[in-house]
Amino acid sequence: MANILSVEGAEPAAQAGLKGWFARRMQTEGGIAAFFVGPALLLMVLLNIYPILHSFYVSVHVYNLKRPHRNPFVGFENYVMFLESEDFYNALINTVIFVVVSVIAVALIGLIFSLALNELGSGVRKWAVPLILVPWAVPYVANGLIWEWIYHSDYGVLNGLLVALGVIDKYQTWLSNPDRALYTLVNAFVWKEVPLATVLFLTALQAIPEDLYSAAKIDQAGAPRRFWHITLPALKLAFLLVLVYTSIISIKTFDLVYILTEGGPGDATALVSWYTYVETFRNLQFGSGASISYVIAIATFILAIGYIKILYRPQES
Amino acid sequence: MKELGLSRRKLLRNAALGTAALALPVSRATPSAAMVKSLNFYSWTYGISFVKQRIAEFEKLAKVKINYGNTPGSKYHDTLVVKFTGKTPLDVIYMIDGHLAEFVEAGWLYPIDEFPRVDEYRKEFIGPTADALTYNGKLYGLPYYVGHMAFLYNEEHLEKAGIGAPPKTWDEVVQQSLQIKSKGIQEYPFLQFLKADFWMGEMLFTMMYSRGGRFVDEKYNVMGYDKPDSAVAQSIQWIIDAAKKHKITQPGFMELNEVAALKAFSSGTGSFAILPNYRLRAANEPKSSKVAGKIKMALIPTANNAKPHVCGWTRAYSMTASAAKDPARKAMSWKMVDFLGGKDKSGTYRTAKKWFTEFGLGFGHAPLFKDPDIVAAANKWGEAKLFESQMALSKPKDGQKAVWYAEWDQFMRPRVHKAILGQADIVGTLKTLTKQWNRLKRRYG
Repeated sequence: MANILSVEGAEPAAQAGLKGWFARRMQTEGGIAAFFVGPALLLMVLLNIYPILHSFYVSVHVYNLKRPHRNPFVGFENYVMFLESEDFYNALINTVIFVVVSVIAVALIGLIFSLALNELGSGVRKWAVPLILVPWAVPYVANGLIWEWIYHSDYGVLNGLLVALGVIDKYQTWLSNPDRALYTLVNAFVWKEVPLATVLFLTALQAIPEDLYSAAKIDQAGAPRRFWHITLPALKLAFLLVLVYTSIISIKTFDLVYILTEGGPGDATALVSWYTYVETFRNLQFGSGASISYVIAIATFILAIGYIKILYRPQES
Repeated sequence: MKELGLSRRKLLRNAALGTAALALPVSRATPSAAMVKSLNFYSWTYGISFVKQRIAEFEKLAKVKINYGNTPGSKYHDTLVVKFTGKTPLDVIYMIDGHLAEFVEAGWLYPIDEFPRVDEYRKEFIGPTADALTYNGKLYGLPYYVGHMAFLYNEEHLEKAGIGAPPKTWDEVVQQSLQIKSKGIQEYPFLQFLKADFWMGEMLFTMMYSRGGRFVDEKYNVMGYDKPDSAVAQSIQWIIDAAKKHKITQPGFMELNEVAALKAFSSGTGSFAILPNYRLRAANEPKSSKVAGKIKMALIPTANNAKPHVCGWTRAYSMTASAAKDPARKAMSWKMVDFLGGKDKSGTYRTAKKWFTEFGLGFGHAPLFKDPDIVAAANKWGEAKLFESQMALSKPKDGQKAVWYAEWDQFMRPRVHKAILGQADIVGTLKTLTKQWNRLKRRYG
């Protein structure tokens, strides 16, 4: 097949120099692919790969902005230092709790909402889906500010509502109670992330052929068995998406801590992302901040691989 | 107007130019500054309309465009760090004295000693201002305002409870609070705010200073901070007792920040509060306060026969090191710093004066204490003499000029919270804080 980039009237092999090499490359599929993918790849290298490599470079040096001209190579000392830190382990435990509770809650609530929406007529669903997506569309900072107002111990809406309903008899502290504070953050996070999970599950639910349910009914299968043997297996890919996405987002959660608690009371809501932020932008220790970021990124990557290994079967998709 | 041969537009223009000519020290303009077309100015979010007004005046006079940005005060440090490390162009900024050391060490600020009239200004700085803005012998800005924590009380609540005078000691704060509480005037008379943010240090230092305590000496050696009877240990114990034993502090005080505390106090919540002194003006502003006219200031209560010292601070207009790299930009940046923090042609600290009369922000220039407009404004919502007395007894945070101070401050916040929550014992916490201070001192010293 003559290539559109070949030089007319000249055999590619006969051409010399760079022009000839280019013409020969463009005769191959790989060459054409490289030609079109190359610019995007170059951008990716500049915008993604270079910062990743540079941040690794920073993570193995002392980069303390209070001593900007002293940047000795320290190997993995920054990594060792934070791994030995009590504060980091506290943040790690908080993060694990935050991620596990959030991911389970988002997946379960999203699933329940999607099942309910799936039962509604398409006319109602047409209106319900955009409405349910509103919290997801709220920016993270605005979400934090909304919940700050809701949780406030003196004039918060939550206290007002619970007192009015008779659930509590006097206003409670939510954000300054060390036993509750982390879960108040989880709640704010779940409120924002459930809508997307709902839509992902709903899309998967609507792709299940109705025939399968009809056949199961003929076979006398009850609702629980239909759910277990038809619905759930069909939602595997949606689960994969929800779990991977929510896990990554929850591990990265920073805005809620920044707006609502600054890691307090005490260190009850200090997540790893907050710890990294403090180390980098408050303590100006960019070297150790970069090393923590690296570990978080690798842990997230391993988690995502784990989900894929467990849930993804190409033949099923 | 037409009869005088003036159109309204002409009159307004001439009036504006006249006012501006008075404001700008024209003789100090340098030819190189004229080459600069724009400057980048960054501040925290406060009195924005007034700031913009002053910027507009400067733009007109200096024929320069000011690109102005701002962010909330509680996020200011972090935002500046991001901007400086990201090489965002910044020429003139607001500066917090507690961050001076680390910003200078990071190479982000430029000293202003070389500029005209700086020595004259320096001589007129009040008390700790010059020291607060000096690092390694160099001055890094002109004062934007000088403030301190102040003890405020709701006079009406005290009268209702039959209390004749505000408390003079911390024990009296408890007694009077219990009296107010027992009469059902306020459930939690002492409005405390202690969120683990920027203001936590100011609050703790104020409570410690008012008990005669110190943190470190001039050489950054810790001064008995971790002893069981230290002033800071007493302060933390007082906070715990106020909340748990006497129940005179609202339960959510550890989630309350400074702005929220002001709002609560202005809405009539609490009979006593420790707030920045300039908040007295806002708490007595009828447009925004339900208790306008009822909020008074008293000297901070004390203990251990100490003098009523409070934690004070200085905020400045500073020039960045990047601005100083280009001579023309440096000259124009200084003009702006001088315009905002210095005197106008008539010899008045015009911006500082306006900040006080319009917003209640304290000033760092001694001559203003004698200015009749200042005295009149101060007496409108308080007592000028009392302001001067408390200002004279304000001290910056011990050790804040150590380059590691901000790092230690960040380390301190969650630990003191834990001590208040009962998750750690007070002395153990103070020993940990002392150890961390010494560790950082060794690392940076």
